This record gives sequence, structure tokens and C-alpha cells, in this order.
Amino acid sequence: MEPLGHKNDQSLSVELPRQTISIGGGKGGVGKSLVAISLAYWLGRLKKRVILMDGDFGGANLHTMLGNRMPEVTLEDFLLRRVENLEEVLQETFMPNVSLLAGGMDIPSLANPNFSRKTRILRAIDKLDTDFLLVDLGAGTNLTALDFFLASPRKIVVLRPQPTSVQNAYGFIKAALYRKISRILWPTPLRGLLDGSGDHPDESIPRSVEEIFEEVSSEIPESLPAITQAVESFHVDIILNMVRDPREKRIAEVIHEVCRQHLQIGSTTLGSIPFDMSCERWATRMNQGTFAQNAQDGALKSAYQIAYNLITQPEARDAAA
Amino acid sequence: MSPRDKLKRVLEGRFEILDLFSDSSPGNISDRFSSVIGIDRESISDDEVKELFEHFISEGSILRALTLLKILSLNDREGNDLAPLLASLLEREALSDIRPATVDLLATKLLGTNRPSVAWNNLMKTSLIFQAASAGEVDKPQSDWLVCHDETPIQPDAPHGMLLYLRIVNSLPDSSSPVWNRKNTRTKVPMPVYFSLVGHPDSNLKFQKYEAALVDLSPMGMGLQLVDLYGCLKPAELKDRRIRLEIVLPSRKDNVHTFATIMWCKEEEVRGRKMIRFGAKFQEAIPEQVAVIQQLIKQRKRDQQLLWSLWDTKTTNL
Repeated sequence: MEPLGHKNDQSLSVELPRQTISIGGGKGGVGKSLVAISLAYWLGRLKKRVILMDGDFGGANLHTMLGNRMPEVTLEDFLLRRVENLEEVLQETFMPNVSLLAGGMDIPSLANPNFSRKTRILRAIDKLDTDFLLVDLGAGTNLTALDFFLASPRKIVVLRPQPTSVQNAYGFIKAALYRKISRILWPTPLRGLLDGSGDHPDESIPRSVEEIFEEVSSEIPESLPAITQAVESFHVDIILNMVRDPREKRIAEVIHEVCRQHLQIGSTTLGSIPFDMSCERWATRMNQGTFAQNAQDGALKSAYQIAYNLITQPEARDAAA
Repeated sequence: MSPRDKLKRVLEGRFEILDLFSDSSPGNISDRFSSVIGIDRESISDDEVKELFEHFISEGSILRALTLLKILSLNDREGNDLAPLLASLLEREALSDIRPATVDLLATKLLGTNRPSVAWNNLMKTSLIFQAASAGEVDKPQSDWLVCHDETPIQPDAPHGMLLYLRIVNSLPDSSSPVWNRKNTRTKVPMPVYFSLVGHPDSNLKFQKYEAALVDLSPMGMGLQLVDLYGCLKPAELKDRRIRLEIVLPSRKDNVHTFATIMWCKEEEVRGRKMIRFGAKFQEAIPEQVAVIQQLIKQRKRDQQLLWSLWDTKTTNL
């Protein structure tokens, strides 16, 4: 098991600009990429400069969804220093005001970029001149996804009203929070507490944030303010995607309640997007011409309100930045 | 007399040693024993510590066993030597059934966790001092008093005809709260509970079924709260009232029905609404019901189980 904490993690605590939004969800197939594209589309239409970044280093395909099957330059080129500046990776898309940072799939070893590469990307992102940066994260709870999620002031979790999606979304949020806390615990005697490594056997892993607080206040009370701040500043926005019945919207409350009770973090529902067969058809053919045709109804129309909220409610929920 | 015997006599309530203490003695109990009586970790062997510890445990004197560790902790602040003994105690307690041995308040607090490191830290923070008290107070211990007295009557050689008390100083959070006196730890379990008043003279209220939110739950009782929209319920009239409870279990076909008595009740204003809160103690709960409640508590401690419970609730009518 990959440890949640590492000696270099303190340096990884890069705080990206306030307009950076990460979109994750833990589970594949919940529509993260389509939500990211839809939000980028509307933000662009609303005259905002948007950069859409493919944060799925192991399975980059956002460019394909945007009609570019073989991008000439990708993030791999930046990681391998074939290009010096991240701006050189930016490519135009069919959407107005929206640029793409395409991910590459040529070199498997780059699926899990090491510490220095992750830091280099995060710092380069920090320098990008844009109104919004949307990072479409990959599925799963790998540390790369968690680090980009944590570095973003605004954290969006996309889920479907299905049990596996809810389960994975919660698991993703929990993993991210534990990762954040683990960074603080790394230089302390409680290093490894949250993943059962070090001196801490599996049975002693705290089952809730309350138990973490208990352990910290007992063992390293001097770290309690930092842990408290880390938890209190952690906030996630939920987008419920592919909703077939309006009553399904209350499923988001499952996440809210478990987050509140067990993780002691806040979460809000940013919006919901109905199930739309045209999205299925679009995802099958990837015909960019048909994408904008759906702007007046269905899923894309619902995404408008969410994008509008992102502009009109710019305050980042997460106070980390 | 050997240090081991001295220690045993003190912990057993033999008081002649107490006369050696003066007001200028150090406040910390381990410092006291070290400086005044000459008992410290160095003067007693590991085997003797273990033997004494086991002796008190076998007698059910958990507090005395803990006090023993406390006294000997002066040179072992990290608990390297003594924490394993504490861990063995915690392990035994965790495995045992819930039992009414919790009059031992310090032990209850310490055993509220199954983590030796947490318990040890609590033990280290706790400053125990000897405090003489009159015999009459034995039957009415104050909430912040830790009573460690012998069952035997006042001994003739007790100083000033008093019993031995141990008192906790500035260590127990919110020790004045009634929560402190609870014999069972309560778990937060937010879910709906229905109740009706049994034998209420007002027939309108008697047959009324109220929905309350379950705030917390233990095998002995529960905390509930509800918004009384029509102002029918009077806290003063609810106290000591018998109620019929229906606990709604998402995963069960049949809800749990049991009776309880309202032990306390108060009215509060929360966000502009009048909220009635009350604590109820179960009565006539049959073992099966207790088992269900305990299972509920156990489940609620795990996030995945809470998640699925909520999922079942939210998707019931979809």
C-alpha cells in the first residue's frame, strides 16, 4: 500500500490560484470529463478564459473527447522537458475561450509522476494566465489525483445516483482528507497513523476524524491547531450527474451526512445534471458539432447554472488558498 | 517495610502513611511518593509491579491498579515500561461485557478508549492528590470526586477519622456535566424515533404519536429532540413520564418497540424554533431489543455502515 504521507509532502502543499477547480469522483464512468467539458464550455461562452487540463495521467483522453485524437504536444512533453513552458502545451479547442492541456499516454511510467514532476507541474500551473483552470482528474484514489485535488481551492466531486459511485466518491473525499492530515503528521511521532505504517498497527487506524483528533490531542497536542485548520478548511462541492428522477437528488445528502459525521468536513451540492441520452450519443461519436447543439436543453443546459454559480460565487469554499 | 508493601498499604487504604504528607508536599502524586515516602519506579521491581497490578485487577479494583501505574510513572513518562500493563487492562475491559462496574469514574474515563497511548496520556495528565473527606460524603460523591475508599468502616488509625479519597484535579473535561455520571458511553445516532406518552391524563396527548430525532444512544437510554410545533408538550410535565418508543431501523422489517422513562427534559430555542430535548432511560427492554440497539451503535461507528444505512433510507421510495 502506498503510504499517505511522505517526507517530501510538505513541499507538495502547493496552493494553486483561487480560480483552479479540480473535478474528481473516485469512480470511472460517472461523467467527470463531460462535466468538466460542459463547465468549460459555459464559462467560455460567458467570456471567461478557461484552461481545461487533463489530470488523468494514466488514461488521458480528454483531447479525444474534444475531437483531437492525436495532440501534437501534451503534458508529457512538458514533463520530459521537450517544451520548457506549459503555455507551449496549450491548444485551442472548438469551444470559444477554452484551451486544452492535453495529457499524454505514450510513456506509461509518467502515469504516476514522481514528487519533483508533480511539483513542477503544480508550479507551472500557478503561472498560467487564465480566469479558470479546470482539472479533470482520473478515476481512483491514486496520490496524483489526490494531490491535484488538494492543491485546488475549489474541489468538485462528481457522482451518479448509484451505490458504487456514492461509495467511491466518499472514499475519494476521505482519502484526500487523510492525505492532507498525513502531511501534517509526517514529521511527528504519529507518522503513518492513518495508513497503518510505521509504528502503528492496522487495528489502531482511526476510524473517524474524531478519533484522529483524540489521538493528536493526546500524543501531539502542539499539532492540534494545524490538524483542526486542515479539517475545517476542507470543503467539497458535489455535482450529482446523470439524474433520472428528481427525487434522486437527495442521494447527495448521503455524502453530506457521512462527511459531516465521520470526517467533520463541510460539503454542499453545487448542482445536478439530468441523464441525457444525447450525451451518450455524443460520447460514442465525439462529434463536436453536435455538442453545442444540445446547449438549449438536457445535460448541457443544466451545467450552465453550475458554471454561472462558479462565476457569481467565486469565493473558494476551501480556505487553503 | 519494603517499598512494595508501603505501596500496597497505601493503595489498600492504610492511612498511616498519609500523615507523612504535608501541605508543602509536591502536588503530583508520583512526585509525592517519590519525595516523601521514597517509593519510585527504581525501588520496585518489574515483577512486583506486575504482581501488585494483577492483584488489584483480580479484586476488581481497577482504579487502584491505575493509581499504581500513576505513582510509578515518575521515571517512565513515556509509559515504555508501564503502558503494556495498561494495554492488558484495556484489552480485558474491551472484551468484557458492559457491566455496572463503572462507579470507578477514572477507570470509566480511561477505559472510554481502547487505545493504550490515549489512556496513558490521560493518566499522565491526571493529577491525583489525596483529599480527606468526612464519612458522610462517601454516599454522595461529588461529580468531580474520585472515590477510592475501602468497603470496610472507618479504621481507627485513619487520620482525623476520615476515609481515604482520591480526587482528580483539573484533568477531566466538563466534569460537572451530567454526561460524566453516565455509566454507558453514548453514540451519536441521528435517525427518527416515534414516541407516545403512556397514561397521560389528556387523551389528546395520550394518543398522539410524536416524531423525534434520535441524538445519541446507549444500551441504557437515549437522547432525543423534537420541535413541538403546537406547543402541546411541557417539559415540566414530561419529566418522569413513561413513553412508548418506536425506533425505526432502515434495515429491519419490524421496528424496535420498547418503553422508557423520561429522566430529564428541557426546552431550548434553536434557530428561532423551540426545541424540546430529553433523555430517556429504557425500561423492560428485552435482550433482543438491547442486542439490536447495541448492533445499531456498533454499526454507526463505521462510516461505511452509516453510508449504506443512509443510502437505504434515501432510496427507499425511489
